[in-house]
Amino acid sequence: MRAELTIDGGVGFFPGLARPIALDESDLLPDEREEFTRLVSAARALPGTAPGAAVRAVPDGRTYRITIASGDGNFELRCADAAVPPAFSALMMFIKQHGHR
Amino acid sequence: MCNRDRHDRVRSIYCILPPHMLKEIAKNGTPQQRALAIDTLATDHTFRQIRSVQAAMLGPSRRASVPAVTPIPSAQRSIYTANNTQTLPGNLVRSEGGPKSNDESVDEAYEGLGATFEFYLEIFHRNSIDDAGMPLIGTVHFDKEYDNAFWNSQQMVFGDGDGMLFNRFTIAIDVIGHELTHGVTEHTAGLAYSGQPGALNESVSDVFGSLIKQYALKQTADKADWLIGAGLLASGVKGVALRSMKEPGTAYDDHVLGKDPQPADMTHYVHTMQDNQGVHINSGIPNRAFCLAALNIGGYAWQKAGRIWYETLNDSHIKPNSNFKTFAKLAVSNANRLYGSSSAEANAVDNAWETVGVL
Repeated sequence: MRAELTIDGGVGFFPGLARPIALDESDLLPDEREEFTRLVSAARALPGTAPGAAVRAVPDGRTYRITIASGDGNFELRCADAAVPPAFSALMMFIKQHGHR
Repeated sequence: MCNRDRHDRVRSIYCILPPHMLKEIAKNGTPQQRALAIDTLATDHTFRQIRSVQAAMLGPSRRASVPAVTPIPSAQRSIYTANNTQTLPGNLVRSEGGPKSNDESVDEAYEGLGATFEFYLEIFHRNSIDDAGMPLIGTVHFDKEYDNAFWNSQQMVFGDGDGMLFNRFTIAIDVIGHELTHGVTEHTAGLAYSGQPGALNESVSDVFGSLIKQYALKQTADKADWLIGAGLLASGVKGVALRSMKEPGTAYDDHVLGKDPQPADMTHYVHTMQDNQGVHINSGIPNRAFCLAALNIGGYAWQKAGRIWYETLNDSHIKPNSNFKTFAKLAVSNANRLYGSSSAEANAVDNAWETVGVL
């Protein structure tokens, strides 16, 4: 399974920070891989983060997109500042900690 | 025009020139007469609104008791902490008139909101973001290591920064002014947040954010640094600010952030789908136009260049989808109206937009 986190918006546009952060489960230790799978399932279950869900961005607010590619198919999760569910936030944090640009 | 009673006290209600007379002067007077009439109309409108709101709140039987003297508008600040969660507004830490806290983020937010309120009231006679006394609310310590700040139409939200790339976001008064000005734009021109209208929206926030900083420091245009967010980048980052209005594209060049992508003129306009089609990127062009106009006019930038831009933002011909050319033409038109078509001010505005390639 592979995840990609893209952060758009904010008080400025920084080309270096606009590049996605990628995480492949093959780079993780077994217990980290388990945690990764659990976090993805929890985030995927959120009703408000599906691709068709309304994501309202405010000026200088950020929007977040996580794309997941797995053997079961690909899907995308989205949300925006001040409306980031804890499960989405936890997955984002994990990708930032273990992934790379 | 003033009417005095038998004790020789002035009946203030008879001392005001009627609005229709001021509007005629604003339309047909000399440039100086027009500027003074516009100024008076703006002040009068604010106080009329306040009296109207007060009267509505009191109800018909008590309207006669509305005092003739209107209270001075107040920022009505409330600063909260989110305690590094995403809960808004969070816990109240400091209210309007309350003592300093032990938290520098709280106090910086309090001062920045106050400075923005004071600027709009004193320079443009605008009573808060919506010109109707909207209370100013700010939340600090939003989320963990949050590298951002934003206005969500109801309040300001500030992150602490991660300490590696960004410092706390209350540190820069112009960023606070920038965010609150998004609220002013929302209540005036309503510029849509994408493409050229969005870049104008961003530029207007940079313009008035910078003016708020200059006003607080009492700097003339030639003494200002024209940087947005100076002090926000953490030490070790190769850069001086988020953006440069004077020299777009030069604010930073860092191995993590990348290079400042802002263009300085239309020849280098960036076509992109990122960043809502480049709202923080192409804002460099109108930013530079304002800086050039202000430097050319000289003195304090908020007095003439700032007034022209504020009048343009409030111009009835501005639409949510207005592009750079429309804004530039209206800025020139407002400069002509305020200062005369052959004035140094109007020429400065016209030349500035020509220099950046919009006109």
